[in-house]
Amino acid sequence: MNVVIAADKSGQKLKQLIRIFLEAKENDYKIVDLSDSDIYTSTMNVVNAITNKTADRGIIVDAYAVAPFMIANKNHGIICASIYEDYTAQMTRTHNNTQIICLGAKITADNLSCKLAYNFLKSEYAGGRHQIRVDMLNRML
Amino acid sequence: MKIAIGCDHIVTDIKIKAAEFLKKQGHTVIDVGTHDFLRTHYPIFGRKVGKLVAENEVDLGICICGTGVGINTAAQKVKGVRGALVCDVQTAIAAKEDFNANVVGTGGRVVGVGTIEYILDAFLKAEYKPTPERNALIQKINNMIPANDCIENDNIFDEYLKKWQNGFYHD
Repeated sequence: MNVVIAADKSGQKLKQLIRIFLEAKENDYKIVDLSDSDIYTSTMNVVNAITNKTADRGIIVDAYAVAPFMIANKNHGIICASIYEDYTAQMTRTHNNTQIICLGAKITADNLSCKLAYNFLKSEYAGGRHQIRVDMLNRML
Repeated sequence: MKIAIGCDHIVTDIKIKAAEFLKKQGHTVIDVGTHDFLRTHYPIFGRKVGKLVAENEVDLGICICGTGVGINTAAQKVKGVRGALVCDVQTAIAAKEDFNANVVGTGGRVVGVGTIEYILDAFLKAEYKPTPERNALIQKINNMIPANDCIENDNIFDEYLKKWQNGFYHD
């Protein structure tokens, strides 16, 4: 699986920990870091990698997981979720076909954040009745 | 304050409790639905909240679904919306102070009613703290979506609802 990660200054440390954690968990994660000092550019780098299909999933880390949610979801075809706990890490993948998650280094502890990122990558989209909602989101923008 | 609130069928009871909380504080609440537990689709209600916010019909919007992701993403697809999906008070405050968020949401299956009340209270009381950097980022986000029919076309979901009724979408 091709995974792109990015962080601004406040997310750099946690982003590195997540990368190390994921690489230790699975051999087949090919992780590329697209970080920029600016959260807008970091987020758009991840969005573009998903849009042009060079990556399967994206993970963005900043202070609160608010800015990447705002920026990424303003792009056609992108569903980005702010993740703070286990239930959403899995369910957003299963129900929303989320390609990108963002994590807040000031809100969610390092150890939990690493596991949330892993749980997100391990989960698969269920499709079926959920697809009408994804189609509707893609019609909006 | 005038506040729009929306939900999907998973958390209608939680949404009603949140709306009652806001009314008790003296706010005017526009509940865009859904109003019962019949299966429906979160983009319908996220768009309605986003539209009221974008057209300045309300001061702020609130979106709740199971995890909060679906309905808040829908609101975020409306030009002019700056939505935040939060699970705690500190993030809700940061969303307003740092990014001047005009929609806040959470997961009704994730966060309890007490925390939701605290989140709403903190979000409504917090004020944007402008800096040149924050103003520039907000301007960038506001400019992201090119002109489209998402706000004015109330029938954009019709073709999908027709396909749904015809059994196109099934598990």
